[in-house]
Amino acid sequence: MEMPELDKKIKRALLCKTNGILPSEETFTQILASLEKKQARRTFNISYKNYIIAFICAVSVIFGTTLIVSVDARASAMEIINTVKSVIILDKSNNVAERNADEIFMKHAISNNNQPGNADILKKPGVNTLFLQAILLNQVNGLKLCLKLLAIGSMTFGQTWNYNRVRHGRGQVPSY
Amino acid sequence: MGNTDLIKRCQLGDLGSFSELYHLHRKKALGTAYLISNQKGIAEDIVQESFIECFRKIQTIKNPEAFEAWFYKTLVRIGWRMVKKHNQFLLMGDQHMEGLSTAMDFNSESDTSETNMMVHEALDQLSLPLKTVVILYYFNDMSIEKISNVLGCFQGTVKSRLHNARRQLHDVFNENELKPAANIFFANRKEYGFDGNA
Repeated sequence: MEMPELDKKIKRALLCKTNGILPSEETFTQILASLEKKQARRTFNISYKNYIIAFICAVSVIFGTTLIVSVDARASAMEIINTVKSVIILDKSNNVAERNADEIFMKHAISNNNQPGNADILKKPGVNTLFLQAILLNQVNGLKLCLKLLAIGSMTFGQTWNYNRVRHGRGQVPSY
Repeated sequence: MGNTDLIKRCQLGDLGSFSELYHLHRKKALGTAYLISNQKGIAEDIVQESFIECFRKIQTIKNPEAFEAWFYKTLVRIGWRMVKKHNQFLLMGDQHMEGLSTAMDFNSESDTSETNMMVHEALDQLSLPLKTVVILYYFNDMSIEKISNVLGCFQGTVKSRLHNARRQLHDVFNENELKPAANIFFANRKEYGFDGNA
């Protein structure tokens, strides 16, 4: 069979097959109904999203304000931060080890070697570490905490301001 | 009103224009969907889904001239997805019966309906990408370039798919044409005592 003849046959067969298929009148009504339903769902989702954002902002503002204003909260936060602090020590067998600061200050660190080499200490942390630095960390942490709290406060304030600007400003885009 | 105006009005959210656009394209769209899916119910679902998607995303079209390619791209994607989804529930026998009844209804000549049946059977044997290329080329009268836009592939790929599909269809035709001739030949041999067992 030649190709043009084959082409004709294929075309005729396809047209013949679809001749009897007529689109029903209800289809367009169904399309419109689906569009309306999807539109309503989208509007609900958008408003729901706004409420969630507003709630998160409010919670973060309240949390930030409480931390900044309350002395007790600040003190407890400092305690929590202090608990996770660790120091690097030399154990009995002159190995460098990382331990919790509170745990270490309660006990005496005993070592036969009075002058440990810098190379031994550098093995684990990978930086030049002195015991003095670990002790000074306690003092520095207080200042760090204050700075962190200030940063949280300013971020939450910034979020609320941005949200208000987008929500009530010109940034609103119509859905259709 | 021209197609371009209709699309521009649709982009503004005019439902009247969307209705006109739907009535303009519904028959061809349904035909394409039916040829892809082989089931009228699925075809209607594909068309419905495609037009919903069309109205929702018509704002993204920058060039209204490219509407047809864009729309059929959506339709083909939805069609493939639905066919794959429904494939496990479909019985091959039902598909053949439906194709047969449609062919018989609209063509009384037995030889034409036989050819149509052959084409339908051969099309069913093709893979979905080959079948889609054949449908878009022969039924939708699309050019190779347009088909490549619809399917999102190179023109060379479309050409090769079309060539493969034609070759497969050609083989099926040849096989079916040779069968009756071969049957007559072997029947005559038997009649004249040239049968292998004699």
